Amino acid sequence: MRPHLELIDVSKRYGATAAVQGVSLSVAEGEFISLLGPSGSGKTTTLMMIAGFESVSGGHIRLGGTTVEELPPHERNIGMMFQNYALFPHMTVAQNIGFPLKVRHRPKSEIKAAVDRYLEMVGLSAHAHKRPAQLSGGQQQRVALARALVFEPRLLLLDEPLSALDKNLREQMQQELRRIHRQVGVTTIYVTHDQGEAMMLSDRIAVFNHGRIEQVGRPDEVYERPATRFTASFIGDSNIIAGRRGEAADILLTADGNALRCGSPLADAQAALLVRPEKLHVGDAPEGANRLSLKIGGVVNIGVAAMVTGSAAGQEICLRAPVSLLPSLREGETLPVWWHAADGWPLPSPQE
Amino acid sequence: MTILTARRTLLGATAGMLAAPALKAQGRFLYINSWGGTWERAARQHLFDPFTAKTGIEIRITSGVNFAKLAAQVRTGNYEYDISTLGGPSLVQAEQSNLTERPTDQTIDRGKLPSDGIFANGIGNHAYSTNLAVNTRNLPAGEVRDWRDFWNLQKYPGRRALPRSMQWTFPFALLADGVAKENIYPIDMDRAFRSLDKVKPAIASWWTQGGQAQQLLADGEVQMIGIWHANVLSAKRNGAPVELVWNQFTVDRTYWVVSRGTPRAAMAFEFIQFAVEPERMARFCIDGQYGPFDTRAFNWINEEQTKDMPTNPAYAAGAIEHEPRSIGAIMTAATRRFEAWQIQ
Amino acid sequence: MSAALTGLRPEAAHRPRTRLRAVPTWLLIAPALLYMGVVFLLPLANTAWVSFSDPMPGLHNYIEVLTTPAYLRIYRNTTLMALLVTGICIVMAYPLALYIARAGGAVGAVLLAATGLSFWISFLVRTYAWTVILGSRGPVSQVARWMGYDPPPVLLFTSAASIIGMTHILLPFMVLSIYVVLARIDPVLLRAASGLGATRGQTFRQVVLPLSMPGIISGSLLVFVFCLGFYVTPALIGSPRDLMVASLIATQIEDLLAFGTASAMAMLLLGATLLMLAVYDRALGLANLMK
Ligand SMILES: Nc1ncnc2c1ncn2[C@@H]1O[C@H](COP(=O)(O)OP(=O)(O)O)[C@@H](O)[C@H]1O
Ligand SMILES: [Mg+2]
Repeated sequence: MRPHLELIDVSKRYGATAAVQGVSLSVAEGEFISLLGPSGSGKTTTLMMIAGFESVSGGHIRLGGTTVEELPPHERNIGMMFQNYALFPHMTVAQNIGFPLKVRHRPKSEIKAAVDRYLEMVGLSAHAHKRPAQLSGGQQQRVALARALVFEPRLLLLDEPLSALDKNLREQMQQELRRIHRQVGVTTIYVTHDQGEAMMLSDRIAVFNHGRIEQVGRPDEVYERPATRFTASFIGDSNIIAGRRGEAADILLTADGNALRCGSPLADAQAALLVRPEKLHVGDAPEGANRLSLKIGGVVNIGVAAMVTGSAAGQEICLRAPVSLLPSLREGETLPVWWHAADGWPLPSPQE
Repeated sequence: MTILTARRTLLGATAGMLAAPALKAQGRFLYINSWGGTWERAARQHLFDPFTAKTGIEIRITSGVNFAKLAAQVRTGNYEYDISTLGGPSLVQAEQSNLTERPTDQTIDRGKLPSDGIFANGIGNHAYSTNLAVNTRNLPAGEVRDWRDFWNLQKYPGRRALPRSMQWTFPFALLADGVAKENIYPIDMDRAFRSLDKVKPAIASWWTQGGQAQQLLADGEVQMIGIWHANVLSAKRNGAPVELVWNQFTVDRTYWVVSRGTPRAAMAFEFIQFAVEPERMARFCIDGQYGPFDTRAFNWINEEQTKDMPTNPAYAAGAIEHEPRSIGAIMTAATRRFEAWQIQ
Repeated sequence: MSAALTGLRPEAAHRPRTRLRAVPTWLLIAPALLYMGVVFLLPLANTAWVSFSDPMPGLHNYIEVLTTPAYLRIYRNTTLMALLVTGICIVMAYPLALYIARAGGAVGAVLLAATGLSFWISFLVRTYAWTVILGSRGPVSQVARWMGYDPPPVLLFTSAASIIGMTHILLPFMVLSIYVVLARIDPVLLRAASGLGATRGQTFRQVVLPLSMPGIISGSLLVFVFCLGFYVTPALIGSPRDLMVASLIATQIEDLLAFGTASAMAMLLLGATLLMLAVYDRALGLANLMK
């Protein structure tokens, strides 16, 4: 099947700064994809180019099989939700939601029906005649969402929509976004710097760094099989142990002489392996497992586990130990840790 | 500075501030309402400065002659000026409204004034006139001689302007309609309006300010105009091609008046007495190109200097003396009717 | 005087500052209220009083004004003139304000300064400038002559000249009023509108224009009220038939000392203005829009 949205080698330069450099991405119809990356990595710029608010410096954007980069925003039929909601302060909630249909000259009856339907979808039927200023932040958010969806756009773009909300409201809105996405089925591009949010909401995640995409994949893929050290460290807690490849391609030799086996062969001579904290165990290692002795630097009781940080093989290491071990964990002492070779994921050499 | 001296300084300042009105009343200053321009320059040189030199009383100017302010001052007891100059009709109105201080034998020595020197509480100072004047760019000088010519729109097409105030315009309208100059007063209002109807289509502006009239004439925005003589002279000095017609002109006399109730009245009359001494009046009039009120002043004025003076005996045949009381009697009714007529 | 002295007593000077906080709010705004009262309300009250009492008590001043057809015509003409100038100001100021707001940065600052610059030139001077520009030998007439209109059309001493002159003088007020509001509109709203499918025209009509209404309204009120009080410009360059209410009032006072009539005229002008505001408010919901 042809992809619904295609970014082909898209770049954006602002004078000397390259905000986006050669980004390529294919998004299937109905897919929910997150652009995840640290601040300044080019996510918003990419979104703005898709929406048409920024021109592209190079490359192409195709939507539904046609090139759109020459079209002005209002001809692209893309729904966008802005970070600060951008509701029209002089219109009521209903008028805000009806706006995209009104400018498309839809009949009044159709507008009213659609507005009512989307008001109900976002649970604001009772507030139809209020002004945005009379609503809470969360309610304004829903209005913005309804307004971006009401005209059944070919694409829904959201730029860090939940970043202004407090934690509870944010989690509630995440649930709602998922529900609404499932209900409406619109292809959605979601910009966030919060990896947890991206993992929870997305079908796929595109990891941005320095204006490039480092990796695109399902949440479990980017988490368990990160393609780069950046992805490995940006998504989830990570222990990255650097070294060089041994005689056997799946062996990593650390500077202090440990030989650690990986789940699959290392690609580069200067390499590293990733092991997630939850894969590290305390105690005697079974046969064939990798083992290290950890010099405890700090212990924090987080309730479900004891967070232990320290150093081993010249690296900062963290892990979760059972709370029952707490009395025996003392700063400065050494702790035997191990993990199954299959849980060690090979990473390429550090990027130049 | 010690507390003591600080206290004394403050005490002095406070006392000064509180006592300011009282001090004013005692008399270092006299406030005179000025017409500005030529008038003020001549008055400063020949009247104000010599008076200060003689008496030590400083003359301060408040500008913008404003008849209404005189009334407001007397009503509120808040004096901005002690002395003003008024034309005849205003003088009559001011007297009727009790706005001016009456000169008495204690304050003014009548023996030094001409017999008609005091009129309606005012003390005669100088005369100015309202004349017909022509821009000679398109009309040869000497062509337009009187108000009949001014009213002759067939022979002299082109725009004209007249004063917005009835006291100057109505006599001209009557003259244009053939009324002999002796018969202008009392004014026949209906006849004046009938006459004005005829010139109205050519009137570009009913002017209110002397400077405005001067510009209209000097720039050639109007071909002819009824205008104060001083403004024509000023335009001429600036090189504008204008002609002042010394025929069928009305003469207004202006009078010094003292605001009624001012605490500086005695001083004000002292100044006025000083200002109207014939020789001084002569010098003031020469520079200001006014006609001296007191004919004795002509003793200090040579023939060349009388050329532009409305009270020049040579022009007497063409001069028409305003009758302030006659104008005053119809002023309100005529002005209101004139206004209504203008917008029709 | 003794109060000034006690104010200097050393112990008074050392009084703790916290005392100030104990001063009730009404006392703190008292100077402002006093100022408003003295500068604004007192003269107004005096005018009202004079209008009913001068030269004798009663309604005769009002009856006189309201039963004189010429006066009513002057009121109507003044109001029409003010409305016309206000309308022209809106039409001319809006694009300029929009351009300045869009340009922003240095260009915007320069344009804004240029707009404000004319505030520094006396309006008398500006009015006289128009007599030259519109005069029979001024540039406009010269151009007309070159184009074969001889004699050139008469511009000076027409109502059009009045309107041009007043518009020129009042335009900056309108530009600044509208600019201030336009500059406050969040540009994201314009993006949002465009992203939601609105063309530039639709964005302007449905978002920018309604959001700038408060600026248009405050500018209009300012210009309209100024216009009602104008008389120098119409008197200097306007048609000899155009008489403004303010000019009428001035004559009553300065030439006729008819303070009662003048006060009644002023009160009626004020009344008419307030009435228009009330109608405007009913029609447009002024209070709502000014929020
Ligand atoms: N209008 C602009 N002019 C110049 N530089 C810009 C502009 N917009 C963004 N940038 C730069 O482009 C880079 C990417 O920005 P952005 O796309 O906003 O990142 P993100 O949304 O991932 O935080 C940043 O370095 C930013 O400073
Ligand atoms: Mg961003």
